[in-house]
Amino acid sequence: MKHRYSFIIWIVCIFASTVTHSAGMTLDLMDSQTFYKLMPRQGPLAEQFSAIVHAPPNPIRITQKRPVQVALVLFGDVESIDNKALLNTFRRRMREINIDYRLDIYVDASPYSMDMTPYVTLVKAQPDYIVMTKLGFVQRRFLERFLRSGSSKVIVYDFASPLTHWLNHPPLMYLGFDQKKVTTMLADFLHRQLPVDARIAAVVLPSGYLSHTRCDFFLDKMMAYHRRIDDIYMVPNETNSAFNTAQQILEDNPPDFIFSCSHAISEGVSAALVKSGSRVQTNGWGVSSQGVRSLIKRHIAVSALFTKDDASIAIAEAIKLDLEGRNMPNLYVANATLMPSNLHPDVLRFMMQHAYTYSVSLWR
Amino acid sequence: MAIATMSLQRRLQQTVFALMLVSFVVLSLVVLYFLDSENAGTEEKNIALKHQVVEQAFNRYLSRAEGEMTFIGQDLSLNNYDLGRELDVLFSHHEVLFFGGLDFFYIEWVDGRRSMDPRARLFTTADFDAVLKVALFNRWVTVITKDNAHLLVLKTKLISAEQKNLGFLYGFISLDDNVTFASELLQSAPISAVRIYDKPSNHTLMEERKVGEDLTGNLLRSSLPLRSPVEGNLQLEILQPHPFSSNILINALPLIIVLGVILLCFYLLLLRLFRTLIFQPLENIVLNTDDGRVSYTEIESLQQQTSRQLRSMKTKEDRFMLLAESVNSAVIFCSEVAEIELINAEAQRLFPDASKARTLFDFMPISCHQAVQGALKGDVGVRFTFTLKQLGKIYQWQVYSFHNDSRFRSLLLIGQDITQEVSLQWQLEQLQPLSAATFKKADVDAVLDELAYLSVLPERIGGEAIKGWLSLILSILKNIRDDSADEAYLPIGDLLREESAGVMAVMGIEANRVFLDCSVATGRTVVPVNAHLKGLIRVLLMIVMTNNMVERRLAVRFEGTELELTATKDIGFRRLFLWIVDSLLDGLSGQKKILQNNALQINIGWKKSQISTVQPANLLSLDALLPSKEQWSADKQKTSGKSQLVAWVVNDYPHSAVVESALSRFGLQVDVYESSHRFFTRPNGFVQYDAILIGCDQDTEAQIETTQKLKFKYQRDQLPIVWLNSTYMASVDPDVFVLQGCFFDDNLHQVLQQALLLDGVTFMPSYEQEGLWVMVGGSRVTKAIWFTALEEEKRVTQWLADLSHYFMVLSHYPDAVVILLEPQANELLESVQAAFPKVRFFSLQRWPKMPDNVTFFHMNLPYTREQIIVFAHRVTQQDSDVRSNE
Repeated sequence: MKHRYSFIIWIVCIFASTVTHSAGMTLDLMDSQTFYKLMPRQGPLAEQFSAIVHAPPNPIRITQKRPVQVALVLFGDVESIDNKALLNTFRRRMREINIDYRLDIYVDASPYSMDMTPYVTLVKAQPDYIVMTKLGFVQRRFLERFLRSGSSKVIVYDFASPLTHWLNHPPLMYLGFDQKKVTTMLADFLHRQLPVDARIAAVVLPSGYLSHTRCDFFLDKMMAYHRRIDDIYMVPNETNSAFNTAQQILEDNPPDFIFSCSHAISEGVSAALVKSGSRVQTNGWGVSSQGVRSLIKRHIAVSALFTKDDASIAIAEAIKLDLEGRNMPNLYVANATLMPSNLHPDVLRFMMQHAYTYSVSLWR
Repeated sequence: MAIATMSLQRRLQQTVFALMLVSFVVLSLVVLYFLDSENAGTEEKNIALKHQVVEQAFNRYLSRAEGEMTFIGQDLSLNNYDLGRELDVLFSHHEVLFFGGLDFFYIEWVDGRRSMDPRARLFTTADFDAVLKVALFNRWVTVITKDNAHLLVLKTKLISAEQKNLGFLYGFISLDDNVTFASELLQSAPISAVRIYDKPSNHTLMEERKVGEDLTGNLLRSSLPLRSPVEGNLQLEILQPHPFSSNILINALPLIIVLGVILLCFYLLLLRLFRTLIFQPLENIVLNTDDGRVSYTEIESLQQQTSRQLRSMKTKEDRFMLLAESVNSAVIFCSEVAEIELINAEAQRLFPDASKARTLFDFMPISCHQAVQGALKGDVGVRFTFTLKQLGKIYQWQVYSFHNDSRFRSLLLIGQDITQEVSLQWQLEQLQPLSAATFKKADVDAVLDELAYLSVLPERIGGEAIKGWLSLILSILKNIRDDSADEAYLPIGDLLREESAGVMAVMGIEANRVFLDCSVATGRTVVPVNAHLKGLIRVLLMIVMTNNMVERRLAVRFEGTELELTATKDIGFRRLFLWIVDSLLDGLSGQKKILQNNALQINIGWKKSQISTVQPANLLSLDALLPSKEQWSADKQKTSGKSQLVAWVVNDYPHSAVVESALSRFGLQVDVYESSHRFFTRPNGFVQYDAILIGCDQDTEAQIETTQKLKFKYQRDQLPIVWLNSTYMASVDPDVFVLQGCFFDDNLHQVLQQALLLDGVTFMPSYEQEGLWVMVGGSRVTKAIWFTALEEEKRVTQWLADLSHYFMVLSHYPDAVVILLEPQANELLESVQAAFPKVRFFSLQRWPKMPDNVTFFHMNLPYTREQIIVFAHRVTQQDSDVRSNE
């Protein structure tokens, strides 16, 4: 009874805070269009920067007095394909553009960033550039000291929504993908692919950045297409939780399509689908460790394809431009597209090759 | 030094304008100041409002943090977490904490356990015990740790569902580098900087300012106590720039424009008033020069002074005009463009059109335009003269250029009437020769001219001639100087003779060089002769004799009582002679006139009483006193039945025709003989010559010989022989009459008159029984032989070259025997025979178709005396036979 009561309070609190913060998030975060509109100079700079990223490497024009120190904060497993691809691509580009640098990798492997050791070390190291590959509440508050003091320049990776409160002290660059755009594309695709009366279940994240930019946005879009989604399951951003929830969904009332809101959820749902042998499909976010093969299995109807190599290249190019003292945008949004599974595997591979120009070899 | 002209009106305008401008600026500034003050008041109110807003944002942030603490507290209270797992559970909701206000928290459990948020290490490393002690329940407390971390801490109780205290929850907000917190404060109200500090210690807890904003200038600052749930006396200071707002200017602009327009209108009004009240009256005073029309107190002295100066100027002008009028000169002042500025009365009289003319050139003669233009260009010493024909005046003008009051070159023309001077000058020029004559001084130039003329004469002039010329000139000059009243009454012919003889003698000029036309009647007129008349005659003779004309003639005649002498002269102007003539005429009260045919005509008048005519006592048949030739001829016919006969032996005397005609005019019969030889070989017959005129030019021997022969023939010295010599004879036969001087009628008449007083010369025929033999033709030798032979036979012979003048001979000897020494024309012979039937022809040569009346007598050549005697006898014989038969 006591537990039930506390749970009710907890849910109330959660929802209360969710409502508060979801609304606040709209104020606190900006999407790329809003940012470019607010700062008209940034649009042309971003286009120029995009051209630089997509162009063949151009060596740095200045002579460095000393190697530039780059601190790269990675999260989770360093050996994951994402991290390896990031490192591989970044290093290769840095080499190509002939920057003398020292890369220090700080790994926050704790599940909720409970371990502050890498951050404390990082503060002591005082690098020239800090590349933060994830922006959570710890990292946000941690980076603020660098933003204000300017002792180290900050590049925020995989986060393309500038913070309103940081406008006064912006980081060197936000790098990431337009989640809303990809979500819109996904909603359009599913609306076209799925039958009119298809039942859709959604496994979403609790309140947060991705929940706001992906989950809620997807639900709003589907509602706009008159596809009411009632089966909404909120799970933490974990594969296991998603797996369990998906199994439960399949057991209770299997829908025609299960919407996965994050890569981890997609992995869990996909695993549950595989396990159950159901024909129900879900969607993917990014390429799994299995690469194209996961698509071929048809459990995933469509997957978002992020050109993460471009983002990695952008880190190197941003450092180069900063060293050269040239103008650069504060926000770079890399391309993202959809990769439907019904395409020919060769086409899919070609798309992979195009998206991961430097690290395609890792995705086998 | 240039004098700068200043406009009072402009100066006033500028000053007033500057004043207005300054007023405008000052007033504008005042307006701006008031507006700014007003605005500042508003701004202050505004910033106070902002202060409240920021305060609210601060409190809101704290409330959010409190909310989070409540959430965490409830979570901890309601969930029975495993020991040591609380934080993991809490962190699993990190998405909720993403935008949270709480930076970290600290849990102090009842059982003494403590759970510290790992994030605390990111903000401070200080010992939390000390921190926790100062924390208060539900009140935020500011903590400054030893490592200088600024924290806000709130302490709450952890109450379990059973209302049992589980422990204490401490919530921390780090104020260091809290970008989100600061940004929320800055963005809550548009301010530039915010500072939160502890007022007692003035220790800054948090400070943030907008990047890129300049906060060095004028700032609006609000520092008020921070009303918040924070314990302590915190002060919130907000700043915002307070530049001179363009809004103020925009707000003030209409007011300033209105102010400007008002001032401008005021300025224009002032200008108008100045103009109307001050400058216009002044201009009127300047324009209306009439004194005393309008007077203003302020400028009364000025007006009086001006009036005085005007009067002074007027007086000076009057004086000047008086001066200009009184100088007896035409005075014209003109400007740089030759416009008349002043013209005096005399000049106006000269140029009546001047008043209508625009410039000087409109009425001045064109001849002087160049000079005036030159003076306008700066020429000095310009003067010119012109004649005003309509006024009969000559004016000499002097032009002076000067710089007028406009600094341009102007002209002053002063014209003086020099008519009298010019007239006097002309007269003086005319009088100069008279003066020279009065003083009887020969003009040297005239003498030189004369000498120059003589030197260029084509004929050679010998030394004697020059000497004579000089002596004659000297004598004439002496005559000029001779002012004595000695006068001798002489016939003019005698005077002419004397003077011509003198001139001829001195200069060695032949008498016939000049043709003297002086009739007997003229020559016999007695006039009073003085040295001047002599000189005059002499100089006229010199003029005529030495001139280079073809006809050298001196005509003398009387027109009543006035002697008219007409002499041909050279075309060249011989000043000396003219001067001499003028000088001499001056004493004779005569007049000189140059005729059109270049002749010099001199008229000398006498009173009637001074003139008489000579009546010679021993007048013969010739009556020279007769006034006219016709009358003289008629009388001659009456008084003498037969005219007198004179022989005129020409010899080499030139112009025998003149002598012959003169003699004819005298009514004399003249027998002209070409030579003395012809005279002596004249045909036999009785003839008496009342006078024999023997001419001679160079062959004086023949003249003398003839005279001697006649003297010898008639055995007496007093023979009526007159010598006509063309040259002057130094020594002459005292027994003969010599025509002295030049030949002219009266001269010849005088000589003849003397000669005719003597007995004439009678030629008696020596051989009267024998007829006259007329010898025709034949050479000189033939004639000589025949002449000698016939002389011995006492034959009277007449020698003819041919029969062309047979009538003259044969009329005297109608029965002459004509011996033809040469063949003659048959027709002529026949006509002679027809005219004179008694004439017999004998020819010594035969020629074809010889007429029958010619008797041929053969005679062998050469002719010998014997043959001639035989022939003579035979002819005589025949002639006697013929005559006996008759």
